[in-house]
Amino acid sequence: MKRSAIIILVIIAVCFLSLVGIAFLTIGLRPGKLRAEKVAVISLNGSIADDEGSFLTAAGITPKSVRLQLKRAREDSSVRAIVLQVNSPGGAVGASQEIAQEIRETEKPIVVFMGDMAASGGYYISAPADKIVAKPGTLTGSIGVISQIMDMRGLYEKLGIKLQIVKSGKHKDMYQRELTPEEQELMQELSDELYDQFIEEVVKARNLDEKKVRELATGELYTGTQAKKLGLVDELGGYQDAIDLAAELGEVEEPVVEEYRPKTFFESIFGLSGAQLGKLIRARLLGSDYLLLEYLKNSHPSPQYR
Amino acid sequence: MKEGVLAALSGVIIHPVQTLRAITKEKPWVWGIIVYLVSSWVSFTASFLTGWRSLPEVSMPSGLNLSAFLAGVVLSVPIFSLVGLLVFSGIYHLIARLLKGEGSFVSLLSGLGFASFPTILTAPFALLGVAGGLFGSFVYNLAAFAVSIWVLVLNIIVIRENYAFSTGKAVLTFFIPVILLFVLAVTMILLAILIAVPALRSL
Repeated sequence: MKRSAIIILVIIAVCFLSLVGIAFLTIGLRPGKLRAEKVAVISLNGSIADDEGSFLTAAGITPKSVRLQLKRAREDSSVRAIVLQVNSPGGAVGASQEIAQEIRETEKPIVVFMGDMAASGGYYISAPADKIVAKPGTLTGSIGVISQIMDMRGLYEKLGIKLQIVKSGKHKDMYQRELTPEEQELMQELSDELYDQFIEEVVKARNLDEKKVRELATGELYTGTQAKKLGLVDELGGYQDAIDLAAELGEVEEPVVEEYRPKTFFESIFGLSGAQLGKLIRARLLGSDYLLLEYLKNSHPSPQYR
Repeated sequence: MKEGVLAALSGVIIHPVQTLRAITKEKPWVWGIIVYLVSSWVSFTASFLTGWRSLPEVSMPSGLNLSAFLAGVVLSVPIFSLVGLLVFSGIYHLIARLLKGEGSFVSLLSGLGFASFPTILTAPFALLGVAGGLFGSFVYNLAAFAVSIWVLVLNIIVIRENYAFSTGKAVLTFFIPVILLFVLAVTMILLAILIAVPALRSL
């Protein structure tokens, strides 16, 4: 064999050996990467609602999205524990309750890591977790119910729309105008019942005394530090503390963190999803007044954990 | 291959002009494709593993079965490389024919395949990049850049020898698709901005 041919063979051999070396250094030194015991991180950001969002309310936390992500974590045998990264001012009552139930029924350990805000419904969905970690400056609590009923007559007038109402049912149009004293009372009863449900959830999930919960459930916000003293959260700390706690609960020594719902490329570049961009273009074409009307018409003034 | 594939590979490194001229005449297209696939596979895998190592744990994509992902990437590279080689050879051939070149597509394919051989040399530098810290990383990037320029020059030589072009015409043939791709990318970005900006203003 010629000398040049031997040199080429040596070069090729060196190159393949280098590949083996690189594979050893990258994968071999981190065997956990391939035989991973994972902590899944699920980000829950925004308002809690049943729908997937609209122009004025970006898609936030929905029971469907939470259910799908928890299902994925439950079905992945390598996931030993779950961290829910909650950053929410709350939202719809029914959706909050559905999400809380999903969390309660998940057998794998769940740690909630509260972001800047996990208030009202955000706290409601956090309560059933095995542990709650909050930052000292997290705003949480706000245990209560609120209903905001919009009188849209001014907007109809502005748009030149004359509204005629034909109703069957005494109070069927109560969300279209100012409430009567009787209707105010009805709404108050409704609100009180939902408030009791909230209290019951916190008492049960956090194993707290009902009287104590009623005292602190004034709708006021608490910082993470105050919430820890009141027993609303378990630990103060950061993201890594939440991961470590989840790993401990899941009995994992060196967990690989797997983040669910990463941002799409488009979102990373432009900060909004393609669907939202489509809605913005629609807003441009239709005009914001008509979109506002569409939004208000579709948003039934239901009581909120917000 | 009168002298054998190993001699041709050493010729690509030591006497590129004569060797590539001979390859475009003899048209060993099967060997050309094999050399191209092996070289691209080695260089891509080295580069991929080097880059993958630097990813922080928390940024791993969701739902990723890493073993399957690695296997998928490593196995799919030859397919994409082959498609890339065929597409780019086709585009170069089309442009060369428009510029009145006389060479054949098969000779071009053979030549471009062999011309890609130096990319295999990035693997030892990638190992240095992984093991050698910041300095090693710098040397790897420098070597990868140098090899890219080297292969680019070899590609131009293949086009020149295959179509009996002047060097200038071969350079033009090589860069026209690159320029077109650049123009296309810029146009798409501008279009996206033109659509997005008025929409964002309405916020």
